[in-house]
Order: sequence, then structure tokens, then C-alpha cells
Amino acid sequence: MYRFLHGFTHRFGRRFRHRFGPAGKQVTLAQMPTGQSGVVVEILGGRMIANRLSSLGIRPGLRVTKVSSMLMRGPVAVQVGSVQLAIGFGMANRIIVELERVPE
Amino acid sequence: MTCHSAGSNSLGKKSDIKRILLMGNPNVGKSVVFSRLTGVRVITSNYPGTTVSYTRGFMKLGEETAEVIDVPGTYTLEPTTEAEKIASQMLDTGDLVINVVDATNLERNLYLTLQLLERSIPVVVALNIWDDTEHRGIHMDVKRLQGLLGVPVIPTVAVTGQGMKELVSSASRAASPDMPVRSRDERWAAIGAIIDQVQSITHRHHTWLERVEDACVKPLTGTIIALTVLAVAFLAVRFIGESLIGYVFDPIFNNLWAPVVLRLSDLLGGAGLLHGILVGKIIGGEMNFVESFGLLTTGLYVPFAMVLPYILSFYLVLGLLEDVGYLPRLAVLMDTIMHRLGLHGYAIIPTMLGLGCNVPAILATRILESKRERFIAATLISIAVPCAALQAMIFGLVGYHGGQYVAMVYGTLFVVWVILGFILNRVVKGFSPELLVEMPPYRLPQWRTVLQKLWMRVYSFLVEAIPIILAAVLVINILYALGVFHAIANFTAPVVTGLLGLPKEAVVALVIGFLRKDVALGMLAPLGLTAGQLVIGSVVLAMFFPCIATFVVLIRELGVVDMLKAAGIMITAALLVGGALNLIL
Repeated sequence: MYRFLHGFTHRFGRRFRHRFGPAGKQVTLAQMPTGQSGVVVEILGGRMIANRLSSLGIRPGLRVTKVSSMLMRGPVAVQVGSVQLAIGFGMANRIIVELERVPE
Repeated sequence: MTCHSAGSNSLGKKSDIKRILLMGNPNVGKSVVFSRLTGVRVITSNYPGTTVSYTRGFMKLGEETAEVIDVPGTYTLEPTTEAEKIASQMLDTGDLVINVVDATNLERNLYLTLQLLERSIPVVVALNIWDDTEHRGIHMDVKRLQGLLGVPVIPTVAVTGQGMKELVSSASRAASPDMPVRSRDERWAAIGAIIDQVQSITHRHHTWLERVEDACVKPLTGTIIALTVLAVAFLAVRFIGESLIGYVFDPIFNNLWAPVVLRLSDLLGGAGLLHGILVGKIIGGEMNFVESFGLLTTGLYVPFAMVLPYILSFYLVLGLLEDVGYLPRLAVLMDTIMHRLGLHGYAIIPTMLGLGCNVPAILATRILESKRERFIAATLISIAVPCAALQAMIFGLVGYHGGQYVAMVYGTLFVVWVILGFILNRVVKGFSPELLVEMPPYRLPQWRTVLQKLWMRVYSFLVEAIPIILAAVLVINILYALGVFHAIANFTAPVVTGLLGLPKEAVVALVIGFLRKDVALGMLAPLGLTAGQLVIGSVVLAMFFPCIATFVVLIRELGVVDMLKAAGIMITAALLVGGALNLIL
């Protein structure tokens, strides 16, 4: 269903989620377990960070899957569409994602 | 809405196109397209940020010749790095933009495309890496995309040359559709709408290459893979280098060249100034290419039989690592450590380049975001990262006494790298930005591109380094004959002998190190040093001062003030470390 949100702005994204069922748990990308997918809800911090992240393909409304994270607050690797990105721990901690429910 | 009128160039006709800019996201193959269009060979790799400065070439466009510029990759026209800054500045100088787009990653790439279409410059889109879309399950309606963007869209496969002709002929149809200037969110919304209309993706399973990609960035498997890759790379460089020396270059010099030089020596009467310059010292009728120090002996033997084999082997292995796409993943693994040195993981890429030559390495620090990072990275590279030429000489001269001494040199330099980085991180104001980098998909390297790149790098060694090496040998002989070195040696003896424990003549090597470090290390050979002294000599020579080529690049990239700071750090660190080694060894 999140394909719906694809390409919509942050504001729209929120409105849609309200309509479609209960919101999942929200965590930061750094906290998200490896292998889990989620949808970016919000990017905390300045405009600079949001700008850089969005130009690389991370922005509210997009589905991301965590590939791995390094030990000792190391960078986080995520898959966004066909792109794999490495994001420093501090930055990953400012990206809020809503966890997708794992199919049982 | 915008109004492009006064001052903007409305150049649409093909005869008016004087300058074509190749622009696009990093790692979409701009440089490959550039080579195809202009025939100019440029270094291409599989990681974002290979091109850090612009390269120009020329191509035929109808009857006219147009200048083509390969602009560094950029995700957006709001620049965040030095390389991106160069890119957005270039935009104002062009008449036509060929926007190279990665077809397998259309959505992200279109952001820059829309920004370009908002400007008043005509644009053509090259939908590159087109051959990869099918097996990635991507289906695209190119006609529709062309209609929505309002500019020609040409599918291309730059590595094979597919679509290049169409791309060139489409230049005359290039347009500047007056797209409204949008905000960031509006742009993404517009892109979402375009993607929904032109692209559909069918699900597919992970390929084995993608599984390897993932394993390379997981802590446990990633570390094992990294250690293996680096060990294999090192052994391969060593093996190929030594084999080339032992089976190719040494036999050529000893069996073919030595008799010629000995004959010449006889003709010159075995002594005199000219004999000294051309042939050098011949002890007991035996040819010693390392120690004789003539232009035709050491002057040729050092570059061709000692350094060139390692240049060949190092750049072959580096080229493979670059083209596979491994280096950005190494950056991820190294990120935590590099942060302690005031850098982030991506700084490992300039560092690896530095093991070949410090000049391109310092240029490559442009991929780092802040001035602080660039200063730290450039300083660390020029102090603690020995270039391939110097390393070849270390292997040749120090390695003669045993592998443990080579390990001592490398170990010392590594410790210096870590400690100095740690100190610089504390001392230099500011903070290091976070790693944020795209990891390219693994690709099987193509021999053609790997060999072409190897040739370019070897060629630049041949034409740039060998004249300096020969000049250095000539200068050494003349200055010796004039007795200048004798004066310097006596003057600096307290430091060189007292602090570093080297014979006072070794200072000559340190001076010549400013020209070429490989020749400089070679100058220590006839002094009959112990293994320990050779270790000290190698380390001090590596750290003391950059060679002239690196020096020029450092001034250009850091500015005079920061260069002086870096030089101060180098000299201090070299003397401290050399002195400490002298006490230990």
C-alpha cells in the first residue's frame, strides 16, 4: 500500500497514513533492525541535511530497507529502490521511519 | 513563474553550440560518454566521485567543432562538495547540456534533470546504462518520458557505444522547455507523477552479485571480506611486480643493456666528468645499476626496472578494485575508524589512490565535504602514504635485508597516520561531517577499460616522472662535482647524524627527495647503510616533505597558508619519528 505514497510530499504522506489503518511503530533508521523495511516519516535537523538526503533519494514517503549496520555507532546501509546508500550513524538517527509490519 | 529574457542565451541552432556540458549524478557514466564523444581518454571507475575536476575535449557537430566538458557528478545544483561546486559553476558557461541519466535509477536522477530544465539552457537526456534495465525488471516508455520532459531522450549504453550517434544527432533538437522553478517538494511530486506514467518495475530475485554486495557491508562478513581483499591485493601487487622485475626487466638490463654500457665506459676511458654523468661509478669492472648513479645506468634502471613494474602491478590491481565497485564499501567499513582521524569513511578512497601517487590522491580529496576534512586528508596522505614509486624502492632496497624491515617501515607509517590523524582531529577546529554515499552496484570489470586505464596511468608516469628522474640524476652528478653537497652535508650533520643516526651524506637524499623520492632513496644505496638505518631513511624520506609535484598540488588545493601548516607538521613529525626510530633501532 505504501506504493501509494510514492512521490507524494511529506504533508500528503501523513494525511494518507491517517486514512489507511493504524500507524506502525516509529523508530529512527539507526534503531530499525537489520532486514526490516519501513517508510520514512520525517527527517529531523536542519534543511541542509534534509536537502542532501533527499537529493540522494531519502525523503518522507519512501520505503527503505535496512541492509546492515556497522558496530560501534558505525554507518547504516539501506536499500531505497534500486539504490544502496551508506548513511552515517548520527544522520541515520535523525531519520524517523515507520516500521512495516513483517508478514507472518 | 520565471522569465528568461535579458542576458540569457537562447542558443538552439546547431551552429551556435560552442560548448557542451556533460552533467549528471555521480557514477552514471559521464566520463565514458565523454570518451565516446571526443575520443579523449579519461579515467573512469565504478564509484561516485571519480571525476573531481573537469576535462575538456572536442567533437564534430555537423560542420562545426564543439567543445565538450566532462563535469564532475552532482546530485543537485545546490552544491554540497567542492566537486559539486565546480559542476554548478560550469553550468553558466555552456550552450548545451547533455544530461546523462542512470536508467536503472531514473527517479533519483530526474531531480537534477528537472533542475536543469528550469534553467534557460537547452538540454538533451542520455538514458545511460540502458542495457541493465531489462534484467533489473525495469520497463520504461521512452517516448512518453520524452514528451513529459519536452527534450530529446536517447537510450544509450556508453561502454559499448550504443546510442551515441543518435545522441549526437539529437543535439540539434535540444530544447529548453520553460519549466517553472519549483521547490524541492514540488519537484519530487512532479517526478513521482512522471515515474508513475513512464516506468513499471517487475519483481525479481536477488542476483549473486547483490548478495555479495550485501555481505560486504555487514560487520562480520564485511570485515573478513575486506581483510581478504586487501591481503590478496597486496600479494598480487607484490607477486606481479616481483615477477616483472625478475623475469622481464632485470634480465633485459643485465643481459642486454649492461654490455652496451660497459663498452661505452671503455670508449669514454673509464673516468672523467662525462663518464661520471653518463655511466657513473663502476667498481671492479662489475655493473651495479643501483649504485653507479649515471644517467644511462641508475637513471634508467630506477624508473624502468625498479619502479615501473610496481606502477604496472599496483594500478592493475587498483583499477580492478575501482571498476568492480568495492572501494565505497571499504569506506563504509572504515567509517568508524576514520571518524577518529577527523575524517569519514570515504576519505579511504583518496588514501588508496595515494598509494599509487599522491598527486591524484590530493585532487581526489575534493570529494570530501569540508575544508577541514580536506586539510586533514591531504596532510595525512602527504605524510604517511608512500607513493608506488617510493614503495617500489622500499621493497627493492629495504626488502633486500629482509621482510621484517619492510614491515617496520609500513608499520611506522601506519602508526604515524593514525596518531597524527587523532591529533589533527583534536587540534583542527570544526567537526567531521557524516558519511553519506551511494554504493554502486558491483559490475564485472571489462578488460578493455581496465587495460586502457592502466595504460593512461603508466603513460603519465613515463612522460611525467622519467624526465624528472633523469634530471635529478644529472643534478646530483653536477652538484657532487661542484662540491655543493659536501657543504650542505657538513652544515646539517648535527641533525642528520646526531638526531637520525644516518651518515651526514644522507642529507643529500633528503634534498633530492624534493624532486623524486624514488631516486632519493636510491641515493642511500651506495652509502652502505645498516638495515636499521635504511628503515629510518625510508620513513624520514616518506614523511619529511612532499615531492615537487605533490607540493604544487598541495598549494593549489589548500592555499599557501594551509600548505605551510602542513609542511610544518611534516618536518616536525619526520624529525620526531626519525629520532625515535634511531633510539629504538
